[in-house]
Amino acid sequence: MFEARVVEKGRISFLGRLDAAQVEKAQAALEDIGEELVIDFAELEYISSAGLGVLIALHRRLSESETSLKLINMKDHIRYIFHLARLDTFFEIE
Amino acid sequence: MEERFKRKVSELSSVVSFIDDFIGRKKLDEATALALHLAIEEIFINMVRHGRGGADSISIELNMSANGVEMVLTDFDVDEFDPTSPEIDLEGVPLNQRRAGGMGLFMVRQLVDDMRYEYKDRISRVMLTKSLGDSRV
Repeated sequence: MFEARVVEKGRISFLGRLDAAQVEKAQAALEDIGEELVIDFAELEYISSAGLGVLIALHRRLSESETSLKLINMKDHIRYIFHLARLDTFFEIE
Repeated sequence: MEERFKRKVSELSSVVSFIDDFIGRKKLDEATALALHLAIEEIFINMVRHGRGGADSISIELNMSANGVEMVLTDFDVDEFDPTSPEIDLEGVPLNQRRAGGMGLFMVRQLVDDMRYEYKDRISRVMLTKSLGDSRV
Protein backbone atom coordinates (compact mmCIF):
# COMPACT_ATOMS: atom_id res chain seq x y z
CA MET A 1 0.00 0.00 0.00
CA PHE A 2 1.01 3.59 -0.51
CA GLU A 3 0.41 6.63 1.65
CA ALA A 4 1.30 10.29 1.18
CA ARG A 5 1.30 11.96 4.59
CA VAL A 6 1.41 15.75 4.98
CA VAL A 7 4.02 16.44 7.67
CA GLU A 8 3.73 20.22 7.55
CA LYS A 9 3.12 22.89 4.93
CA GLY A 10 5.48 22.22 2.03
CA ARG A 11 6.57 18.83 3.27
CA ILE A 12 5.08 15.42 2.46
CA SER A 13 6.24 11.92 3.39
CA PHE A 14 5.82 9.00 1.01
CA LEU A 15 5.30 5.62 2.65
CA GLY A 16 5.08 2.11 1.26
CA ARG A 17 4.88 1.10 -2.32
CA LEU A 18 4.21 3.52 -5.20
CA ASP A 19 3.31 1.21 -8.09
CA ALA A 20 0.86 1.41 -10.98
CA ALA A 21 -2.08 0.51 -8.70
CA GLN A 22 -1.32 3.43 -6.35
CA VAL A 23 -0.86 6.19 -8.92
CA GLU A 24 -4.28 7.76 -8.43
CA LYS A 25 -3.71 8.03 -4.68
CA ALA A 26 -0.37 9.78 -5.25
CA GLN A 27 -1.85 12.11 -7.87
CA ALA A 28 -4.68 13.07 -5.53
CA ALA A 29 -2.21 13.89 -2.75
CA LEU A 30 -0.14 16.13 -5.02
CA GLU A 31 -2.75 17.80 -7.23
CA ASP A 32 -3.23 20.92 -5.11
CA ILE A 33 0.46 21.51 -4.45
CA GLY A 34 1.59 24.80 -5.92
CA GLU A 35 4.26 25.97 -3.50
CA GLU A 36 7.80 24.78 -2.78
CA LEU A 37 7.72 21.13 -1.81
CA VAL A 38 9.98 18.66 -0.03
CA ILE A 39 9.07 14.98 -0.36
CA ASP A 40 10.55 12.69 2.28
CA PHE A 41 11.30 9.26 0.83
CA ALA A 42 12.59 7.70 4.07
CA GLU A 43 9.70 5.25 4.31
CA LEU A 44 9.14 4.64 0.61
CA GLU A 45 10.02 1.01 -0.13
CA TYR A 46 9.36 0.75 -3.85
CA ILE A 47 8.61 2.88 -6.91
CA SER A 48 7.99 1.79 -10.50
CA SER A 49 7.81 3.79 -13.74
CA ALA A 50 4.16 4.60 -13.00
CA GLY A 51 5.17 6.26 -9.72
CA LEU A 52 8.06 8.03 -11.40
CA GLY A 53 5.56 9.35 -13.93
CA VAL A 54 3.61 11.05 -11.13
CA LEU A 55 6.79 12.77 -9.95
CA ILE A 56 7.73 13.82 -13.48
CA ALA A 57 4.30 15.43 -13.92
CA LEU A 58 4.68 17.25 -10.60
CA HIS A 59 8.20 18.39 -11.48
CA ARG A 60 7.00 19.76 -14.83
CA ARG A 61 4.09 21.60 -13.22
CA LEU A 62 6.19 23.18 -10.47
CA SER A 63 8.99 24.05 -12.91
CA GLU A 64 6.56 26.13 -14.97
CA SER A 65 6.19 28.47 -12.01
CA GLU A 66 9.88 28.13 -11.04
CA THR A 67 8.85 26.43 -7.80
CA SER A 68 11.34 24.07 -6.24
CA LEU A 69 10.83 20.38 -5.61
CA LYS A 70 13.28 18.48 -3.41
CA LEU A 71 13.38 14.72 -2.76
CA ILE A 72 15.09 13.74 0.49
CA ASN A 73 16.11 10.67 2.52
CA MET A 74 15.97 8.28 -0.38
CA LYS A 75 17.01 4.68 0.32
CA ASP A 76 19.83 3.41 -1.89
CA HIS A 77 17.61 1.08 -3.93
CA ILE A 78 15.12 3.89 -4.62
CA ARG A 79 17.96 6.12 -5.78
CA TYR A 80 19.09 3.24 -7.99
CA ILE A 81 15.63 3.15 -9.61
CA PHE A 82 15.91 6.90 -10.34
CA HIS A 83 19.29 6.18 -11.90
CA LEU A 84 17.88 3.32 -14.00
CA ALA A 85 15.29 5.75 -15.39
CA ARG A 86 18.00 8.40 -15.92
CA LEU A 87 16.04 10.76 -13.66
CA ASP A 88 18.70 11.32 -11.01
CA THR A 89 20.10 14.31 -12.90
CA PHE A 90 16.73 16.02 -13.39
CA PHE A 91 15.53 15.93 -9.78
CA GLU A 92 17.08 17.66 -6.79
CA ILE A 93 17.84 14.69 -4.55
CA GLU A 94 19.38 15.04 -1.10
CA MET B 1 5.37 -21.81 -10.10
CA GLU B 2 2.68 -20.34 -12.30
CA GLU B 3 -0.45 -18.30 -11.66
CA ARG B 4 -2.99 -16.42 -13.71
CA PHE B 5 -4.03 -12.85 -12.90
CA LYS B 6 -6.97 -10.78 -14.09
CA ARG B 7 -6.24 -8.18 -16.75
CA LYS B 8 -6.59 -5.29 -14.31
CA VAL B 9 -4.15 -2.77 -12.83
CA SER B 10 -5.77 -3.42 -9.44
CA GLU B 11 -4.60 -7.04 -9.70
CA LEU B 12 -1.07 -5.84 -9.03
CA SER B 13 -1.34 -6.49 -5.28
CA SER B 14 -1.94 -10.19 -6.01
CA VAL B 15 1.00 -10.19 -8.41
CA VAL B 16 3.19 -8.65 -5.68
CA SER B 17 2.15 -11.39 -3.20
CA PHE B 18 2.94 -14.06 -5.79
CA ILE B 19 6.44 -12.58 -6.40
CA ASP B 20 7.10 -12.22 -2.66
CA ASP B 21 6.09 -15.84 -2.11
CA PHE B 22 8.59 -16.99 -4.76
CA ILE B 23 11.34 -14.73 -3.35
CA GLY B 24 10.74 -16.14 0.14
CA ARG B 25 10.74 -19.77 -1.00
CA LYS B 26 13.93 -19.36 -3.01
CA LYS B 27 15.61 -17.08 -0.44
CA LEU B 28 16.58 -14.53 -3.10
CA ASP B 29 18.66 -11.47 -2.19
CA GLU B 30 17.33 -7.89 -2.17
CA ALA B 31 18.85 -6.91 -5.52
CA THR B 32 17.26 -9.89 -7.26
CA ALA B 33 13.97 -9.24 -5.46
CA LEU B 34 13.92 -5.63 -6.68
CA ALA B 35 14.67 -6.72 -10.24
CA LEU B 36 11.82 -9.25 -10.17
CA HIS B 37 9.31 -6.76 -8.78
CA LEU B 38 10.18 -4.03 -11.26
CA ALA B 39 10.52 -6.25 -14.32
CA ILE B 40 7.29 -8.15 -13.70
CA GLU B 41 5.25 -5.05 -12.84
CA GLU B 42 6.43 -3.19 -15.94
CA ILE B 43 5.69 -6.09 -18.32
CA PHE B 44 2.40 -7.02 -16.61
CA ILE B 45 1.10 -3.43 -16.74
CA ASN B 46 2.26 -3.18 -20.33
CA MET B 47 0.20 -6.27 -21.18
CA VAL B 48 -2.84 -4.98 -19.26
CA ARG B 49 -2.75 -1.69 -21.19
CA HIS B 50 -1.81 -2.93 -24.66
CA GLY B 51 -3.81 -6.16 -24.68
CA ARG B 52 -7.27 -4.72 -24.10
CA GLY B 53 -9.87 -6.96 -25.69
CA GLY B 54 -7.73 -10.03 -25.08
CA ALA B 55 -8.41 -12.92 -22.71
CA ASP B 56 -9.44 -12.14 -19.13
CA SER B 57 -6.19 -13.28 -17.58
CA ILE B 58 -2.42 -13.00 -17.92
CA SER B 59 -0.13 -15.82 -16.83
CA ILE B 60 3.05 -15.28 -14.82
CA GLU B 61 5.51 -18.11 -14.40
CA LEU B 62 8.60 -18.02 -12.17
CA ASN B 63 11.23 -20.72 -12.09
CA MET B 64 14.84 -21.20 -11.11
CA SER B 65 17.26 -22.45 -13.76
CA ALA B 66 21.00 -22.82 -14.13
CA ASN B 67 20.97 -19.25 -15.51
CA GLY B 68 19.14 -17.72 -12.55
CA VAL B 69 15.46 -16.74 -12.31
CA GLU B 70 13.31 -17.30 -15.38
CA MET B 71 10.21 -15.09 -15.69
CA VAL B 72 7.60 -15.81 -18.35
CA LEU B 73 4.57 -13.56 -18.82
CA THR B 74 1.96 -14.80 -21.29
CA ASP B 75 -0.93 -12.79 -22.72
CA PHE B 76 -3.66 -14.69 -24.59
CA ASP B 77 -5.76 -13.75 -27.62
CA VAL B 78 -4.07 -10.40 -28.20
CA ASP B 79 -2.52 -8.49 -31.09
CA GLU B 80 1.24 -8.52 -31.36
CA PHE B 81 3.09 -6.05 -29.14
CA ASP B 82 6.82 -6.57 -28.90
CA PRO B 83 8.28 -4.77 -25.84
CA THR B 84 11.82 -5.60 -26.98
CA SER B 85 11.48 -3.45 -30.09
CA PRO B 86 12.39 -0.72 -30.74
CA GLU B 87 15.16 -0.30 -28.20
CA ILE B 88 14.79 2.90 -26.22
CA ASP B 89 17.61 4.99 -24.82
CA LEU B 90 16.56 7.64 -22.28
CA GLU B 91 20.05 8.98 -21.66
CA GLY B 92 19.62 12.77 -21.65
CA VAL B 93 15.97 12.64 -22.79
CA PRO B 94 14.19 15.62 -21.18
CA LEU B 95 11.29 15.11 -18.78
CA ASN B 96 8.68 16.50 -21.16
CA GLN B 97 9.44 13.66 -23.58
CA ARG B 98 9.13 10.84 -21.03
CA ARG B 99 6.33 8.25 -21.05
CA ALA B 100 5.89 5.80 -18.15
CA GLY B 101 5.63 2.78 -20.48
CA GLY B 102 8.80 3.52 -22.42
CA MET B 103 10.66 4.39 -19.23
CA GLY B 104 9.58 1.11 -17.61
CA LEU B 105 10.83 -1.00 -20.52
CA PHE B 106 14.09 0.95 -20.54
CA MET B 107 14.55 0.02 -16.85
CA VAL B 108 13.63 -3.62 -17.42
CA ARG B 109 16.33 -3.98 -20.09
CA GLN B 110 18.95 -2.84 -17.60
CA LEU B 111 17.64 -5.06 -14.78
CA VAL B 112 17.55 -8.40 -16.58
CA ASP B 113 20.25 -10.34 -18.37
CA ASP B 114 18.06 -11.57 -21.18
CA MET B 115 14.72 -10.44 -22.60
CA ARG B 116 12.99 -12.27 -25.44
CA TYR B 117 9.61 -12.00 -27.13
CA GLU B 118 7.54 -14.61 -28.92
CA TYR B 119 4.20 -14.22 -30.74
CA LYS B 120 2.26 -17.15 -32.16
CA ASP B 121 -1.45 -17.99 -32.57
CA ARG B 122 -2.39 -14.66 -30.93
CA ILE B 123 -0.40 -15.58 -27.82
CA SER B 124 2.13 -13.00 -26.73
CA ARG B 125 4.97 -14.18 -24.48
CA VAL B 126 7.77 -12.21 -22.82
CA MET B 127 10.63 -14.25 -21.36
CA LEU B 128 13.10 -12.67 -18.97
CA THR B 129 16.17 -14.08 -17.25
CA LYS B 130 17.76 -12.56 -14.17
CA SER B 131 21.07 -14.07 -13.14
CA LEU B 132 21.86 -14.37 -9.43
CA GLY B 133 24.65 -12.56 -7.66
CA ASP B 134 24.12 -9.11 -9.19
CA SER B 135 24.66 -6.85 -6.19
CA ARG B 136 23.82 -3.53 -7.87
CA VAL B 137 21.32 -1.41 -5.91
